[in-house]
Amino acid sequence: MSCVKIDEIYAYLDNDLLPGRRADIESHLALCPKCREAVEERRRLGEASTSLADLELPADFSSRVMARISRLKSSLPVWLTAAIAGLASLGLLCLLIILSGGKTAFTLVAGFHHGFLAYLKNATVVLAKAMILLASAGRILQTLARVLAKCLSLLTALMSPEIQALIVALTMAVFIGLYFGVRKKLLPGEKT
Amino acid sequence: MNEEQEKELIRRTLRGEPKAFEALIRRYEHPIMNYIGRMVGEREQALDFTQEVFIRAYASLRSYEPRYRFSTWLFRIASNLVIDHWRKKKIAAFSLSQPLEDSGLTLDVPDDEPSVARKFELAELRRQVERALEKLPVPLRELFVWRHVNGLSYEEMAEIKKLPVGTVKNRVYQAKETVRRLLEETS
Repeated sequence: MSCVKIDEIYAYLDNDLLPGRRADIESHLALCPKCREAVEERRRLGEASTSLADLELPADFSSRVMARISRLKSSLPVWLTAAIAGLASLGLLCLLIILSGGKTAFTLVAGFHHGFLAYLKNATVVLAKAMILLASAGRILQTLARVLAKCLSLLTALMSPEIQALIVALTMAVFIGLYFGVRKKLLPGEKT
Repeated sequence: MNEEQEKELIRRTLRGEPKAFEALIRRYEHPIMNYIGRMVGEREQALDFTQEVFIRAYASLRSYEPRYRFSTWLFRIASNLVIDHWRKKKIAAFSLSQPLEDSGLTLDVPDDEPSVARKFELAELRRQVERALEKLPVPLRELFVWRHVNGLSYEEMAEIKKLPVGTVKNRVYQAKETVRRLLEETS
């Protein structure tokens, strides 16, 4: 038998040869010091390579990752934050007009003739009310969003992907139906 | 931890138990760091990337198919992250499915080669291998690390890289032989 090829040396060391071929190689190795040395060389290198040291990690690595995950979970997407902020501002403006009892933002601007101090006083009152309402609205919305997220997560965990897909498809069908229904009602043109 | 226990941890994570995912992180943090650390070189970056692998895995856990091993799925995420890193750094890489001869290295009968491995004690040999790894082309380095450091089977590597097992075996042999030649050059 001729000398062993390098790929067969590796396959031999991996114990990845058919028994007949393995026996042939072993017979050859018994006779050929050059091939024996080539096998020994690669065996030693293999031993060194499989015992390389572990790279160090901080002891709290897993908790750091979990902290990053929980931060990601609690942050809302930008579009949702913007939509919530827009709705909250609108609600706030309505409440402000109702609650200020005549001292609305409009009268505040219109009542500049009362003098600068009166203006400042009114502005402070409106601002304080706005802050309180904003904080309350924020808390309510945050709680609602959290409850909604929990419910969704629970529902998706309990349902099989097929049922989830069915619900999504049905919801989309309802929305499409609503959209075309409303469009038909609102658009000018012939009504049948 | 066996495969069934891992799958149970995945199910618990999907039911909303973060502690279950933390157990999976602890199981795989060292294998992933050992792989990424040797692929990117810089420790801080390797730590960031290792964190990123677990965050990506958590975010897409619902898309994990239980018929595959979790480790294979995790290493594929890590490999994609490393490939993006190479692309951003514009590091030249070659396709693992290219013919072996294109690289100028054959796996024919060994010529009269000097013995490198006998020259060093085991500890020194390990240091030399680490240094040679830094010079190894990145696609070959990846396979070498998976095989020797992470102890992955050829079948697992083939599944991660979506290549035939035979191609992967050949490339691993090529990686090992390149490391040996790099040691020969430096010694």
